[in-house]
Amino acid sequence: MGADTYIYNYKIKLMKKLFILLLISCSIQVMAQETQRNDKNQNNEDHYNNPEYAPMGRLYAAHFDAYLYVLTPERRKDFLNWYYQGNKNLVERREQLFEDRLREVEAMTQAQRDSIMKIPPTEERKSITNVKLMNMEEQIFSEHMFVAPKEIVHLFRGYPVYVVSTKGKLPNSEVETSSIAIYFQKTMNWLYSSVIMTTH
Amino acid sequence: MFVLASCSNDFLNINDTTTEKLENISFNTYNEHFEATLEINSMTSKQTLELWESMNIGLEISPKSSGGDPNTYSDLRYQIVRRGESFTTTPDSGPEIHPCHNNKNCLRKPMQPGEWDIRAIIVYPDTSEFGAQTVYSNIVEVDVLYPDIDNILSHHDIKTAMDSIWDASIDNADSTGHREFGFAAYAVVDHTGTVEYVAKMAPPGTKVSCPSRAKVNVPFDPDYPTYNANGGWFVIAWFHTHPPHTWCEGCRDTEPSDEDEAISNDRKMPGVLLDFPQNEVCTDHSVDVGYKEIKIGSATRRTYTDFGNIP
Repeated sequence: MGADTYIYNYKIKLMKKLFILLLISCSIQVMAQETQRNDKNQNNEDHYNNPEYAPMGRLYAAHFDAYLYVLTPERRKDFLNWYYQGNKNLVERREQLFEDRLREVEAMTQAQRDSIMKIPPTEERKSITNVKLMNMEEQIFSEHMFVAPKEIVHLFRGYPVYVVSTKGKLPNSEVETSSIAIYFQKTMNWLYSSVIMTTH
Repeated sequence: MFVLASCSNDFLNINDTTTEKLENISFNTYNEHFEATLEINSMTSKQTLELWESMNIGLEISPKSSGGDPNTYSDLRYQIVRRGESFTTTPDSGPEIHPCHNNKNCLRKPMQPGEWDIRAIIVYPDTSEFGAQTVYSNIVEVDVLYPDIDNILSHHDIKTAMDSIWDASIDNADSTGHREFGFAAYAVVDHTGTVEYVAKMAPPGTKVSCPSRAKVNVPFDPDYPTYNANGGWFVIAWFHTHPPHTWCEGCRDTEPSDEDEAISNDRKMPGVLLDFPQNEVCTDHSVDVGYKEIKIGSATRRTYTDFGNIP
């Protein structure tokens, strides 16, 4: 075996070793990245599954500003601090947006409110539609033959709400329908709705 | 011999998404230095998921030209709206997948059936290398299906509820009159994404005697109008009985009424009628023969419609 051949074989062996080392190094890095990613994912999951705050998160996602309204200022800040994972800037900005929304709603015309509540102009209505401003209580539901949703009544009891009720028939049929929808007057967020279909 | 090697784990993504990424650039109209590509289950294209399937969110942020660390963002969110509705331009207002906040890789369950548009919104502060900017990713369309009626019918609790309304229908019929019974079936998704089926019983129908037709009021609670990342109750089907004809004159067919069909077709929701197994029942027929399940309407799954206010 000549010296050139020996050196060539040595270089090939060296490159093979380097390549294997590189592969091992890459694998370790990828595994570390994946572990870090999984840890972060898990931390986020744990944070948002916190049993104290997760139920509040569900109500917030359903009612947004209306939910913030019924929390005390301290509880609101505490909740937002959890929701934004301690990011002070975001908490302050959300509080500002909330205040802005209250002012915006206060300045709304009834037509703007009707539009949010999906109430068509009188001439376009195909059913009897009633809108009433009332304070939240069980009676709102029983008056219209609906079962009161306990959680919603408990949370918003006593606050002013718009109650939109309809009575009519499904198009091209004799099926009687009635519906109820509740909106929070201070923020115009949807709180609850239900529909009854009467069949034979 | 040259060996080009990289320690990136991009090689794990074996799908060539180059073309899709190039197409998605056109969506990013607001960003300056960085661009973001959102993938769900490794796809940027529209996809359809069952309510219990996984939704693996992956976001890739990269410089449009060269330089800069894309991970210096101050806030990263995933906005989600019903198909056709507008996203809010403020990052932290409006519905979002909040458990994935600030997370570029996030494994979730869909949580709420419906047709959704999802995008990421990434905020860089004015103190970052390239100044303040907001980057919007491409939009990924995800259709999360309501459960199929056959799947609903195979569920133990729904079967129990069907037996219960059928027994009530038989027990409440005699020579003085009869009633109909019903319930609405809901998919209940908890905050972990676990899906259960629950029957919400309707108040019993008013007792009537022949020849008056019995009827029952079935209430449906509509879905949240916007996405709720914590789950909730989603109505998926409705059920009701037809009463015995034993104490009535003549015969009646054991099939859904026109009104039954109208409800399912108008509400785009499958229904199930529980009636006697034979094609028709006549005076003095036996009531102890069990029931058959008759599917109502043309849909095998519910399609989202706004139940809100019926005009």
